[in-house]
Amino acid sequence: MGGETTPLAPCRGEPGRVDTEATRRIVAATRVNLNMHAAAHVMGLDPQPDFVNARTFALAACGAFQLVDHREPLPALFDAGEMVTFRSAAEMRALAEHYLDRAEDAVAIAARARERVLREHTCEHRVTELLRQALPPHLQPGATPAPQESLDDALARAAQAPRLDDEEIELRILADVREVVRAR
Amino acid sequence: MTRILVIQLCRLGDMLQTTPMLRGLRRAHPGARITLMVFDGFSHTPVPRALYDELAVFPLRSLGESVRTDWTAARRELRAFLDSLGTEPFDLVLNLTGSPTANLLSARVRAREVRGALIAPDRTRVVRHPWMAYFWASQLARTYGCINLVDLFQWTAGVPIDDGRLEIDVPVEARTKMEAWLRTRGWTGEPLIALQLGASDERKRWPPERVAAMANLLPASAGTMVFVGSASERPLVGRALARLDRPAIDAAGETSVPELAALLGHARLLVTNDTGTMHVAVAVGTRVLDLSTGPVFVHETGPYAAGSVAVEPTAACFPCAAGASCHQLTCRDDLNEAEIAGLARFALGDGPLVRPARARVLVAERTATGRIEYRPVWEPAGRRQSIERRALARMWETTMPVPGVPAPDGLALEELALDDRDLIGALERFAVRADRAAAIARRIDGANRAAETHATELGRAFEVAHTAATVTPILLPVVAYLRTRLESAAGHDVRSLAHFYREEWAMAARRARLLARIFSGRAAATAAS
Repeated sequence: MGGETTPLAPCRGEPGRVDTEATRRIVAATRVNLNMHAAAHVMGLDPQPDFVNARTFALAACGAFQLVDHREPLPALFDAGEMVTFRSAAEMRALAEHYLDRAEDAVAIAARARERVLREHTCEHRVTELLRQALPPHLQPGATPAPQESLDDALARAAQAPRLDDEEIELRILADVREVVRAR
Repeated sequence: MTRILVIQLCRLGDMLQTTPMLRGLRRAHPGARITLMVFDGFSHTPVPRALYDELAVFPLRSLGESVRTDWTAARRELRAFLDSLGTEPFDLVLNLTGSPTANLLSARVRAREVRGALIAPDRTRVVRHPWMAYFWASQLARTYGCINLVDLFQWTAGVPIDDGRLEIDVPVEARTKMEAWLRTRGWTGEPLIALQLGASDERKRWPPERVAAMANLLPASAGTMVFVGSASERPLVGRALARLDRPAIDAAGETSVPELAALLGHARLLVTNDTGTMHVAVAVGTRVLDLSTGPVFVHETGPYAAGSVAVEPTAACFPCAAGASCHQLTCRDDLNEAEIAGLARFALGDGPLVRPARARVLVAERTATGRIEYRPVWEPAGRRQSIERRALARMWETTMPVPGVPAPDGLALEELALDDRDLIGALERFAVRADRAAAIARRIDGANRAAETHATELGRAFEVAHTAATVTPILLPVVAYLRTRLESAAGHDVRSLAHFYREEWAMAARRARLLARIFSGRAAATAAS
């Protein structure tokens, strides 16, 4: 990110790191961001492009234009007009030069990507999906709550216990109060 | 004794009838903290603050609302109320109410001792303490009820009866306000006669037109009529005013409870049905003429003050059961306007005793044991029922714990003798059978086949006792009490249960034998034995 003389120096937080807010402003102001997925076991691009990193969504959410190395799941997440990919270093350079010259195209693509992220790929969407998969229908977000057990049902359940306990006493008091008020 | 809870989830009159007991508890346990539990409708209870330390207001209204929409929220509110009672167990809980809610609360609160009804762990209702067993049993044999509720409460609490009266909190502001209010209605300090027309149940109400007709028969010198009661009773007052031939003050709906008390304090006499107003008048020392009709029974809840006068019908169905419905209301016709007017003058000390054609006249007196007892001063037909009731009262006093009163060493009961050999014979036969049942219980010694056989024999013995009470009705209270006690023996092991049965059957025998001796004029020797 540069030394003490760089204009980005004030953005540095702890030595060697840029804080989140500064990162957001940096990537949004950058005309072409390069987003390459990590593949520590090889030199060059990832030969097994079977995942999409979180940075793809983060950059898009910031409204930042990005060039992404080819990823197999990406077409299911973004349309062609929302994300630009490359399969080689040469293609990456050519695309970078292309969009540096056509900044308005890059801005339009980034805006579409941002809309798509906000529409479908926020943390809220992911958590909702997670809960949808994990929870029974009546507990899912937005679901109509399951019908609450009625006082009479709760009382009948409590009465199954061999001896009267505090729960049953309290339920019976409520049932009696209900009758008293009804009679009035 | 450090913590006492008194559950009084009833109405105004019931709360005032609790005040002598609270006074006794204060005296007997000066260091104890007394919690009085009342409904939220009585969060400004008229019970004097000196008689309790804290008020536990049971949130009936808000629970009633929330239980209909979200019972889980209602339960949270209930738990908050229960938590507010504290975690330290009460040394004594006195359940004076007897409603299902009160009985459940008595089971729910932590307590070292409960007196009154509660729901046992096996879900049966049990009644703890002999006088509370008497109270419940008396509901099964009402005509033989003979202990005033105020005295019953005191004995249940284990405190002696003092000669004080009911108490009510009447702030100075209430007195000042009502005096000013009366003057705006033209009152110049002359005597007042208060009339209460409303009651919670139509069977208890003498029709307002008849009250007005009665008032018209009183001399003007007796006092100015003032109608008291709640706003909901205004239509009744309107009906009475339409028939009244003289000016009157209408205070219905104009007073709070303390203001009502302040107003009644100016009255020479209150003519009333059995109501909270009646007990308010007693608490401020105003003489009462109680018109007992329908389910009202002066021997249970009559005005708790010596000298009070009560009139009750002689209709065969009187008193009817508390929950009964009646479309005839004929017992109200046993009271006659001219006779009631005469009795009002008698109660005031302005006239002689009037002898109604179809109604009994009773006057409250203190007995040797301090109780308030309504004794008939006029009965149009036969004294037998009164004699039987008084005999029963003596029997209960002799065989139950009566705090502050030494065991009687003889009572002058000659006036209670009955020339009825059949009755005396039936009572003695019952006593023999009850002794036999006690002997069967004595043979039970642990759970075994013989115990099962004996238990079956005891069940049959009770059936026989019940039949005997049907044939000889004065045994009804004895058998009803026995039943209440035996039903309340939950939680005992077989050996202690057998002991309990033996004691109760033996006591039933003693009671029947004592009644037989009272009726035969030999009570003095029995009481001493």
